[in-house]
Amino acid sequence: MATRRPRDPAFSRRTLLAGGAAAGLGLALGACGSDDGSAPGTGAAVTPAPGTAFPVRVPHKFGTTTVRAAPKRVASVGGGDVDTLLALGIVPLVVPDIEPSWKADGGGVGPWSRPLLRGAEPTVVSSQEIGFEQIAAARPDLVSAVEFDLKRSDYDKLSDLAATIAPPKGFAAYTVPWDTMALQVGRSVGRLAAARKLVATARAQRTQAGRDNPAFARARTILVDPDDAGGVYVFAPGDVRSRFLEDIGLQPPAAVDSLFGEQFYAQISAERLDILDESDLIILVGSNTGPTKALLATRVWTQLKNVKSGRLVTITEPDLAIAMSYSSVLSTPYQLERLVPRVRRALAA
Amino acid sequence: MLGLLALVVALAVTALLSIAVGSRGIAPGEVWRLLWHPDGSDNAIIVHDLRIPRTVLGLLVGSALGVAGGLMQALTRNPIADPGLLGVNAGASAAVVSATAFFGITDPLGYVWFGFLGAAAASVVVYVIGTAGRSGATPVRLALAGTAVTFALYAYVQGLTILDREALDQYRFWQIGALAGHPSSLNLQIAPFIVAGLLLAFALGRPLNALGLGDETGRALGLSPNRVRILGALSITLLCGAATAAAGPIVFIGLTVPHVVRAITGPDQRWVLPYCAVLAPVLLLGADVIGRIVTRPGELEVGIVSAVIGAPVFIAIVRRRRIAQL
Repeated sequence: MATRRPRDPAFSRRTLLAGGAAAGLGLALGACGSDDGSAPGTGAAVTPAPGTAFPVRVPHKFGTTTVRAAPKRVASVGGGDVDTLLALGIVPLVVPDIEPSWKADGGGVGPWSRPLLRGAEPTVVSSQEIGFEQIAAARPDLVSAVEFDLKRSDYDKLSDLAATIAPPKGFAAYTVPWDTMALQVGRSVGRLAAARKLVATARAQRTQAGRDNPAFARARTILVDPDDAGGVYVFAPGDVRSRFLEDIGLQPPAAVDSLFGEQFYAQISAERLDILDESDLIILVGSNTGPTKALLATRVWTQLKNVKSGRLVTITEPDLAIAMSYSSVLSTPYQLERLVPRVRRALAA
Repeated sequence: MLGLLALVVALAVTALLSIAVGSRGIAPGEVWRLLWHPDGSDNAIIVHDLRIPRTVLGLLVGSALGVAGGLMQALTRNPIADPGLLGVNAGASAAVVSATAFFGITDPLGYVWFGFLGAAAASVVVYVIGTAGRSGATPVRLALAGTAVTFALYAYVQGLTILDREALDQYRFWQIGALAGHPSSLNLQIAPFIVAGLLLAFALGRPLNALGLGDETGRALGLSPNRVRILGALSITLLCGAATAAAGPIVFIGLTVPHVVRAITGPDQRWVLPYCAVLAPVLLLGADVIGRIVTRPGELEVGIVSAVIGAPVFIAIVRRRRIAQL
């Protein structure tokens, strides 16, 4: 049991399942809305597009699933799937438990997705293991398990309950890019065109944020998440966090390139935190409270040049930390609205 | 005696290595200078804030686990007993998880007390169950009670970590066993318990020898076997409770070290226990140093390294010589 795997950041709930949410919706228009004004994605979402002709065939890592008719009862096992579904105008009956506080007051979805529930209260099931019984009880006609480390045996079991959509082929667990996932979900509910539009909108919002802030292009930026041993995790270029930063113009410092092997993250120990000063800006995403508090109190951290000069963005609010660690068509505006002004301020420091 | 001195020298060397070597390369001369003249530089902070506290923790935890393992094997006359046999580790685990789940405590300085209380409570329960009934506290009954309580507590831990992901996140790292990432004040908190536990253990050397001849002989020599066992269990609880609460359950050290020691000293507990106290931290710190350099600039937890290194050593011992009977 003493493997490193469960500690890897992608394995922890925040990183894993939270996908995203979308919601950017009206609320999110605030900060970046003024920049890009349009934000039409969500509008398109609420009015369900006239679907493609069914049946649709969805290829995935375990073969191909045929969805015979437009799904009416969807159970989502995948975290980010929930956001895409909601953005496409489909309220899932079952959603995974990503953040306890969401369960209590948000119908189990992120604040960015909440309005799209339109009062519905999906059944919230464990995100650690598949709640087969609860899913069966919902009598779904589609099970969406795209942002999930789905095992073959579980795929088979779920397929007995309903047409089941697995992650696309060719990706290690939890490394499917957010846009690819959105399209996979879109295809499975016969709304691929609408999904494409949502993805394009989210991409445009990101690009616009970069264009509005030319200073970003000059700031070598490193995003870290504290590990439990006084050090941090950093994330490879293809990782969802890194892609978000790159989309808004923030490039990683060259110093970290050599750290990554096959995995999408690397670890930097407490003694080597000096590597973080090879950048112009540190973004700290504190997914876990204990380690984050501990790290912020150490002298190896407070002595960092970037920390002392305030070229640091610290994200400790769970919702934003989750939004950063997963990305979806709907969490994008939420992320932009909260992150961009802080980055701007830190870079001015 | 000479052997013990040699081990003490080896321990001093290992401790120095542990201060000199890390994922950040600092020249030994520089480390030596900073050791005595901290100048506020990055390197000085690394030596004083990270490496020294970590080394001290390794010394404390290593000694505690080694001696607790030796004691446990002597008390239960079971050569493959590990310090967790009486439910101490499970008790600490259950309490740490509860602290996170019910009280939101994620700070090591906070949950170390829970771990400690949990370890103590589990020992008491095991002892009460083990001594109930007519036959009293035989080693087998204690071991069985310990196993039962351990299973029950781990079931509880599993249940809680499934229900509460914050607790799971916390527990995941803790249960691997690590010397890194702990504030230095942790050392001050656990030191008194470990020192007390060690002194008590050393004082038990002679009675344990007598008990090793059988309860009857022990009684004939004026001992109360039950009292020896209770004091032994108390010492184990102090040692393991403090070590486990601080660094997580590091299993291999407590199991392996007493075997190596008995191969050197023979069965005399007056020697076995002090040897354990010195050899165990040599291995633990050595494993920790290796863990710092194999995955640079990251690190591998000592719980993993010591198991990887300890397992072959243990197998070699088992194959080479007859395991010393207890």
